[in-house]
Amino acid sequence: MEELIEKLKVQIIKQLNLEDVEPDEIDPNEMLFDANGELGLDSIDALELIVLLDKEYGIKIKNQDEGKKIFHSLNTMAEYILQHQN
Amino acid sequence: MKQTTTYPCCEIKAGTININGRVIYENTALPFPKFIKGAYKEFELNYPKFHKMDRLCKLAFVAAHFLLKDGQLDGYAPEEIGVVMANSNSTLHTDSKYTDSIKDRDNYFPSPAVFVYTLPNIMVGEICIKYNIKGESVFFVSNQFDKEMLLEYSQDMLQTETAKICLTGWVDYTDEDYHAILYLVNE
Repeated sequence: MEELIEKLKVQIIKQLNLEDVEPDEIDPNEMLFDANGELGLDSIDALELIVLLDKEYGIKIKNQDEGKKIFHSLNTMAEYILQHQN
Repeated sequence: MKQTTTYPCCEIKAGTININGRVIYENTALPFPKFIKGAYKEFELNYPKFHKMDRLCKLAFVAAHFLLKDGQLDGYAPEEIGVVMANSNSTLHTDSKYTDSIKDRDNYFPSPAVFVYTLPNIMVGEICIKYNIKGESVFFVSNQFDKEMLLEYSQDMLQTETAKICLTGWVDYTDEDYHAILYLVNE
């Protein structure tokens, strides 16, 4: 799980074009879409995360409500990937 | 030619930030991304969306910060604040990055997060969002920085009451060089 989280940090930085963010600066427990959070992600970034799961892990997210739970934090993303990756 | 007036000015280039002729931050050894992040942290801009911006927007955003951070727009209605900006290379750096993301048809994943920065107007938009600016804005793409033209355009906006204050200037970024020089043009 920890290894996957570290990998996800690097992938998210690349996918979301966060070129000045270091992996260590992302807290796995922090809400990804908190308006006052460190990353300030928005709806465009949600699209990017959907693309990332598809491209890197072959996982397609089609249900919006499901997406909200999956993308709550890095931890929830990693858990979902571990459960659904082929 | 209008009367020459000295306006508050912020200039960023070659690893230095200069306010009204005084260097307030300098780190000439760092590449642009580390230099601008260093300034962001040093002056505690504390704006999470900054991390998502492309390099051109970061350059403009930090330059605008030093002209607007002390409530310089207080007392103006959002609609009374104009923006007049220009550069030479538009969003070429991000355009190239986006093109790279779509050129392989077998690995075709266009990036919305990159695409949104493929128009220079987004640089104006980011500043307007942060400072609640809703007045007229214009962005020119021209070969060279023409300070007189930009200031005259802004002064015309004030004279015609299109705006009462204008954030005006030049913000240009390429892999080889960067230069921001912004003025706060008021009556």
